[in-house]
Amino acid sequence: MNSSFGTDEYIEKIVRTHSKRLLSASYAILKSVPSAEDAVQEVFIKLITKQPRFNDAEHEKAWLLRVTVNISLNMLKKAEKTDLLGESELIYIGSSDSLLLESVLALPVQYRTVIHLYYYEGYSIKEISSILRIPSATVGTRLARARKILKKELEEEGDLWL
Amino acid sequence: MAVNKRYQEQMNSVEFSSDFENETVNMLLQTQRKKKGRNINMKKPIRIAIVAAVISLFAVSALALSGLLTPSQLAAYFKQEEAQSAFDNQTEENINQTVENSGYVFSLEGIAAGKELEYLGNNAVEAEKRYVVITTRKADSSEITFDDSITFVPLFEGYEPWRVNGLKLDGASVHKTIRNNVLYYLWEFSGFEAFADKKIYIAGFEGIAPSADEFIMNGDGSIDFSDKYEGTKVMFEIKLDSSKADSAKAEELINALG
Repeated sequence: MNSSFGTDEYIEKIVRTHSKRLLSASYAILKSVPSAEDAVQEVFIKLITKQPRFNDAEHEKAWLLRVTVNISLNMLKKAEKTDLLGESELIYIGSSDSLLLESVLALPVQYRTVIHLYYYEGYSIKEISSILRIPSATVGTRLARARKILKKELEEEGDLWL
Repeated sequence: MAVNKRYQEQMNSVEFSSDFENETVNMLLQTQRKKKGRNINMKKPIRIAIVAAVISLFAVSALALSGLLTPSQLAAYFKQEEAQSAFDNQTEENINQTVENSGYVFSLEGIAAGKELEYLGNNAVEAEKRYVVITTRKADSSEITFDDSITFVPLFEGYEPWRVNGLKLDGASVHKTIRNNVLYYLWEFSGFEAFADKKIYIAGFEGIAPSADEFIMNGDGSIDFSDKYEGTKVMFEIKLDSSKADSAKAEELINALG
């Protein structure tokens, strides 16, 4: 798995393969395109400087997502302290049909993180538990509460949660 | 359209910089070349021998003295009203212990018992809860991040940790935050009042669920970390009011684990 670690080909491949998913995960937390891009570059730097060993591609992906979530949460915490994320930066959405995404982004950060990993990445509760290093029960509770809020929110807007 | 497809579609419509990947590849290649140019080989850090030691027991809350969040304030911050009320009303059960290990200082700041309504279908039942507040900071005062998180779990004297533990008994949940370079945990566990006549441990380790890789049970039923486990470790011991022990309920909980 790591035989070509650190080579130009490895760097090119890892960035092309994972950028989109890591940017999306970070955006779900930070709600800011520039901040998500900064966070994901920090993730890749951490990868090539720490040189973690991976058992397989899934392990590598899970590590990248976990580090992305942690770096993004740390950035969010700092931004909240210093008010770095201005209001104008908070939401940037390309499509006008974005009610579901806007509703997810309006959730508390711990809820939108599990919603993103569940619905975007397709991870199970157990897998999310492993990535975030929190008990499965916590993931399950957050998922259930987030769904309840989203269902109510979407129905009030005349949309459906299906 | 299914929720996951709609969400993926909408998330994929977010426009990131078109040259992000190229810029990132170039930046990483430069970083890599600089590293090679300096002939720096990244090596795994040498793990400092881990000797967990209880270094202090405070009669007065360390949090109160330092101006950091008290357990009650932390519960309020997370909007956990039942936990806040439990900490406000049960100060006699708050235990202040501090353990230093692997460059971290862990403090058990508060333990309180409470009750919460849980919903099973249309029925609400009152469930017993045990709230635990633990703080972590770096011993050298360097920056702490969520990467420094570990898992805490209640373990019970006389029961193998991988078979019976506080994460398995009716579940557990955790809230985490970092304030003033201190990582705070508010853990909520269920069901361990029944074991109040046993020695109870709150163990912190790097992992998801306790296993024989991390823990051992000695012949006398006491619990320790395994010699082969090399990660960050911390073990607090707590005593509860033994009159609250309920062996029948403990048995029931254990049987439910299968």
